[in-house]
Amino acid sequence: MSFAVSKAGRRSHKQRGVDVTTVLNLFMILIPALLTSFQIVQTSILNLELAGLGAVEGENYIPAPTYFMTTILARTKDGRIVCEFSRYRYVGGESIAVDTMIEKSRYFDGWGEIDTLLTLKLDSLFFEAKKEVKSFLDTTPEELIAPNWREIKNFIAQNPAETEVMDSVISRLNLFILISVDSIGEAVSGESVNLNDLVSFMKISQKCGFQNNYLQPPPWWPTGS
Amino acid sequence: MPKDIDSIGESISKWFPKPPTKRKMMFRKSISSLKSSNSSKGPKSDRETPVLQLTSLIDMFTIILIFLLLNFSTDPNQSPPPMDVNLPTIISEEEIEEKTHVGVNVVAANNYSITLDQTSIIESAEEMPVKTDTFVAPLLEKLRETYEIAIQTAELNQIDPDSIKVIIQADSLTSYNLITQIVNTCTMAGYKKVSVMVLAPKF
Repeated sequence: MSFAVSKAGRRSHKQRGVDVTTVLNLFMILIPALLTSFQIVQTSILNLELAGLGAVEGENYIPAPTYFMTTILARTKDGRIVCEFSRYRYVGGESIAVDTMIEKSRYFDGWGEIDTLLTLKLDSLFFEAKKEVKSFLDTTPEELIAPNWREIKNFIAQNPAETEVMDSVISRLNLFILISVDSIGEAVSGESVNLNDLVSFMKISQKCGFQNNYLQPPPWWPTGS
Repeated sequence: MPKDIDSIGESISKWFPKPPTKRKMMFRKSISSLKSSNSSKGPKSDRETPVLQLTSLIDMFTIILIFLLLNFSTDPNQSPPPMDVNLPTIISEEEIEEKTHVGVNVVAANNYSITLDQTSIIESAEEMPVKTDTFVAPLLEKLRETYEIAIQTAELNQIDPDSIKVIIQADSLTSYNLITQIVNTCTMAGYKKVSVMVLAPKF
């Protein structure tokens, strides 16, 4: 590549230089090979918890209105997806079914299709929940509100411009989704549901502000586990 | 004829000279040692200085440095998954979680193997839990140990024990049942935060 030149201006035959050209050429070939073989990953984290419902509110306090959604995932033999989506309300320690927003008889070809439908429904649910929580905080006497909600109420009163606080509170405290799988007859199997389906659902729900996604044990697990 | 033999002998000795005598060798050695000892003092043109091509080396190291910077990360959340695990992919509009946690343990799984912090727990499909199992027994044992260590480390470093979490790096085709079994195992071991790692292609 370059060579030492003697005082006389001629190429020195005595040069003992370490010529890295060959090494460099080799590395230039190796580096792209290494770059392609190594997987450069940019990862994200989705939180998961195994469902454990339980009221922690004090006896004399009134908890904020709490909704929870359930989704039951399954796949047909030809790979179509079932994503039943229902809404429940948690009142006085009991779950009351409100409505079923996506029927289990409806089959989807892919998650893109579910995304379009579910996003609309989740957005309206979020808006409704926000309205209810606001009304609860405005109308319930302060001494009857549970301590955590009282703190939230005070914070909102002190910082009226912080509209994001209410969204965050609702998504963290007042709305959650229970995810499960089930088989419907022989044609639709809950066992074929995989992590990809789970993540696709969770991504849609988190996009719409539903930060709490809990896994429910499959129905074939022994009861009492 | 004898003349010819002589000329042949001369040419042989010319092309294949006799090995130097012992005395000659000693003389040569002493000369070469003198040369080497004087080389630093002598004129520049006489030196046999090795030349290191810095430009090429810098080029090479720059490329290697960029490669290492792209790959190396101290964040345990960014630890690359094993070769046989293809993480599920999401199209990320926003970063889901950027917090770095302490005491992170990683469970990697697919439908035929489970590893915990790169230590193999289950290596074949036969050893995998059956459909009705609610937890993964061999994993539970190891997770309890790692959780204890994580708790002790957190106490020593005065870190909130609630920040201890476990990340599941599972293949996108891993069954829901196995994911639930692993999540349940983590909960049984004491972990309060369980997350699943996904790929968020950004570049």
